[in-house]
Amino acid sequence: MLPDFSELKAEIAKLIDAKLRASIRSKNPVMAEMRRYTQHEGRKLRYEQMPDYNKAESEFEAISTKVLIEFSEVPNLVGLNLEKKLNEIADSAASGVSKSMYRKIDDSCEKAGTAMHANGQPMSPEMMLEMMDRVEMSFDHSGNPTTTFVFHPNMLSSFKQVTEKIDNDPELHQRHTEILRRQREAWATRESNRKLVD
Amino acid sequence: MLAAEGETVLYISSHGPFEKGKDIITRAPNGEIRAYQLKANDVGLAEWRAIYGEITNLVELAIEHPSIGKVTKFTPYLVTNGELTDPVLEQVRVANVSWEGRGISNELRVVQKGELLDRFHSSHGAYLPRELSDFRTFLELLLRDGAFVADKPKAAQLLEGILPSVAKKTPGTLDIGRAAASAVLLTGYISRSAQSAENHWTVFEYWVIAASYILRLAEDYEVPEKYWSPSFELCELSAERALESLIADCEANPHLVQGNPLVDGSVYGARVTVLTGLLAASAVRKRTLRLDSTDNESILSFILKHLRNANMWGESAVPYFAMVALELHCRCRPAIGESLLIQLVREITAQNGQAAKGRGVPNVYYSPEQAIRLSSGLDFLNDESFVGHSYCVETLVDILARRWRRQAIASMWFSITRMSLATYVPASHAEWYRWQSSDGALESNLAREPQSWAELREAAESVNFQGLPPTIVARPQFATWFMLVYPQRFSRQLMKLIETAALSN
Repeated sequence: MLPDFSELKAEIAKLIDAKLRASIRSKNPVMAEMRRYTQHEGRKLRYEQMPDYNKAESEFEAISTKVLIEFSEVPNLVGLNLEKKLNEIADSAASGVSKSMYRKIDDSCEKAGTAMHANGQPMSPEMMLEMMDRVEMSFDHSGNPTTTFVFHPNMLSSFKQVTEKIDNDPELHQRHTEILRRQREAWATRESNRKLVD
Repeated sequence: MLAAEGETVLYISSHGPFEKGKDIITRAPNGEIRAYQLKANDVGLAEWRAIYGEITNLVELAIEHPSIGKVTKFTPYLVTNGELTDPVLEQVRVANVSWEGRGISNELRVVQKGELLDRFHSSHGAYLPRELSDFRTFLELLLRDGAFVADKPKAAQLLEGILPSVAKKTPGTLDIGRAAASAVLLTGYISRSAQSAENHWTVFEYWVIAASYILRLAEDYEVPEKYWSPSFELCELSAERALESLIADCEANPHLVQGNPLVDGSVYGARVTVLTGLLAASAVRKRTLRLDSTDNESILSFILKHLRNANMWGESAVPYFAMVALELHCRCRPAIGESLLIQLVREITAQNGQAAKGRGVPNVYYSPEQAIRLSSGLDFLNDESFVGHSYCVETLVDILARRWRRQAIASMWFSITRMSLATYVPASHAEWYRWQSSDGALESNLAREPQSWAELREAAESVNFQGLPPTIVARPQFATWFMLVYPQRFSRQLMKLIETAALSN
């Protein structure tokens, strides 16, 4: 064989792997904020779901992406060129991870009965308020909501319009305030349940 | 090798009072008692004269050992991995005639290199490293610096590569016995450098791993105990010897400083945790076996003196602390032990709770070295986060609930609900003994909101041993060691097993 410098390459590969993982997470702001959990043994994960502690089970899902490296690329695959290549890989992998993640969220929402379908209709203030009403919201100690709503970038302009309507229409604004009040109360009740009783 | 040939090892010399020229005493399958004197290299006339006193003791002095009482009729063996010269063989013949003339009918027999090799090969040939990868692993372990901590994953990899498993093939019962004996043999080799360096913790860990893999064989094939228990007991005996030596080291080095003092501060706390846990385990084990121990007072003093310097490098330290707390409970100092457990729960929930800012307390899969590397910034490519879950809090809460520590648990419940409580459940009993199981499920549970104290108490008291391998349920004394060497198997069931055995005395 040709000289491979395999020990050194293994170390560089570890460095690249760490960079790639960080890069994949940073491509999706939702994923960047999510908690990560490394499973060290076994092939299955069994977990409880709130609010009824129902048991769910899942297995690992392989997410792969195709990487094409031409022989002619290799001599210059260092520095900025390597960064560029890694970025391409991260883009492709992040897309696969995001699809899998949103599919799982969809499945969970369907099972939990919290899914809402717009049936092709544009987003409306009513829809937005109903969505806020259905989810379980969290708040910080000052009472400010900490729940994150995720929208596709294509929906950004319609989202802005909807929030403006809610802010400017007294009736919609009143409903919004009422939903937040109810959610805050529900959250406070949930928090007060985190205790030992007789 | 003797175990693989069906002999039951009754005694292995530690150069103690039972020795009397006998390095090993066994009972052969036909009931005959055999005594072995082991020598290295060739034995010429000069060497024979030098060892003649020991040989006379071997042949003439009766065997007195608690397990067999007083035995005057036995077969003595001189074993060497070299050869005896012809004049020495003649000396042996004449000596036998002389002993017989004096009414001593224990005829000395000799085992030399050639016979030793043949017997060794027929006993272990099938279960020695043959595949290149196994051989590489074996060599890496063999050549590992004796002062290093045990490479448990690699030792497990070696044993898994060599021992039969259901997935590979189905051996006969006798083969299982041979495989178990080979595990002992290989562990003897890989622990040799640590043994030479008097690194007793490493030696202890290797023997516990070997014993665990023998139990895995037993679970995999459901073979009668007589085929594997001699090998298992040898592992236990070797682990016990290592632990006894470690206890002696602790007495000889009251400052507990080891090696380069300039950098010892980084690991000192972890060392104290390991030592207090191992010493506590030694005392708990003896209590479980209902053995009297003269060490108990010194172990208690050691724990009380050094515990304040112990630190929790990660969740794999929790079994050590749990063992210390159990020993303190047994020695009528429950408050100190329970405060320790409460402190652990507070620390883990503070660092791993949802609001935590850092990466959290490393989980049970991180050894002291790995966790210290992580916290010292030496493992800078590792981005694993531990926030949001704990493998140990549920078991700690169980113990505290059994001790009626309601107020303490109530004060921590809010924090406990802010993380998931994880346990790995292997799919089979055999899988349970593997260092890294592949077939099983990680169970992640949530603390109830609110939680009834009565139900929590009931659940803690009614933890049963279902799910634990029957081989460990039958050996709670081994579980005390197993829990420390395999922190990833620290569970409510295992802790309750050890606690029940220790407190039922």
